[in-house]
Amino acid sequence: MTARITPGAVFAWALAVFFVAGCVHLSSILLMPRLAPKDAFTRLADIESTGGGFAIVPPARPGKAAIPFADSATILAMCRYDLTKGPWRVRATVDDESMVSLSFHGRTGAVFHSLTDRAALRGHLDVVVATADQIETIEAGDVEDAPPQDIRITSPAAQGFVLLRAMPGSPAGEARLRARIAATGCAPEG
Amino acid sequence: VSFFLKVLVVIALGMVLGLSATRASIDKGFLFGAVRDGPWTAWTTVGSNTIDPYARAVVVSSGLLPLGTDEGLAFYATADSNGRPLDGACDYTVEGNDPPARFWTLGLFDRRGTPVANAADRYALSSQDVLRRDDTRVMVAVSPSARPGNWLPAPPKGRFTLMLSLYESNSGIASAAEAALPVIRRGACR
Repeated sequence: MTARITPGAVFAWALAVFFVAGCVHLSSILLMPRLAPKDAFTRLADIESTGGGFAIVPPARPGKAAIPFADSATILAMCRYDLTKGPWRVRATVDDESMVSLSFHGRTGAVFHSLTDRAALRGHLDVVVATADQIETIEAGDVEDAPPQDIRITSPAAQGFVLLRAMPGSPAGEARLRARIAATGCAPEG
Repeated sequence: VSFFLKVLVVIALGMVLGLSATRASIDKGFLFGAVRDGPWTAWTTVGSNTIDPYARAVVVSSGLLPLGTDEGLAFYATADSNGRPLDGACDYTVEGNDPPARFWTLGLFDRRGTPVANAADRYALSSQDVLRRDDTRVMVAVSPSARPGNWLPAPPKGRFTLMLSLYESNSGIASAAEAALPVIRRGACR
């Protein structure tokens, strides 16, 4: 004996399939940042900055591009940070010849803040990266009526990384630019 | 058929369906917030923390490092101005006025975002490199064989993608009509 299958039952079961599919789909999209094995952070794992600064990411070349669609006409440098012991400070010197920009990325590679050298004060980009709690502590110590001398950026998590992009003003200026990137500070405060 | 067996089948089908939907949406790339100008497309919300969960999943699983919103905007083209896919079997010229940006680059990649091997070891041109005809008008030849003037090497065959990165583009760029990006004209095919 086979059970009678009514159209209503088929519809109900199909609806159940779609419901499960929808839940699985949405949760897999939302969980992707935790599950993806090949995010930018992992791809750049062997780029290690030395001496509290930025490390230049090797330019993408045919057959070995760590990051897809990386702009090979710009110089890319990276600094990983960990705020568990306190805020970090990024300090770069800027000049009129070449453009420099910074982007701040969470552990997964998504950008949470970005700025260019237009934000520089007196020839310096002075940025503090901190968690929301640490920012509060810093602000509590501010002198009243005196504008802060640095740019403060709240990191959504304790770990992340800063990318520095530099656009050479001229082919001849590239060596100077690389030296400037090497001199850019990115280290725990204090 | 027992009730529990049906439930198991529903769950299994739902998982397969849900995960394939996730796979399909990731493969499709960014879904929302597209800005188009002729053959060029950019995604304006990818470079800030207003990024949607689908775009975040794409960034994370591809290893992309998108430009921050305040750094600039990257436009991608996979077809010429007439909608025909960009193919190494044809020659192209990218022609237009200097895009509205402080610095711009034009790069060529295969469909996976890797630079394409060429004898000239050239993968991108920048606003600093290019020769201009009459101050503002820029013309770049995209071809597998060397061209006089501005030449961006293309693969001898197969599809490719052009990326036009506008650094510190004025905020008006978000409306594509104001961008007035260059046209991509197809020349001779082999």
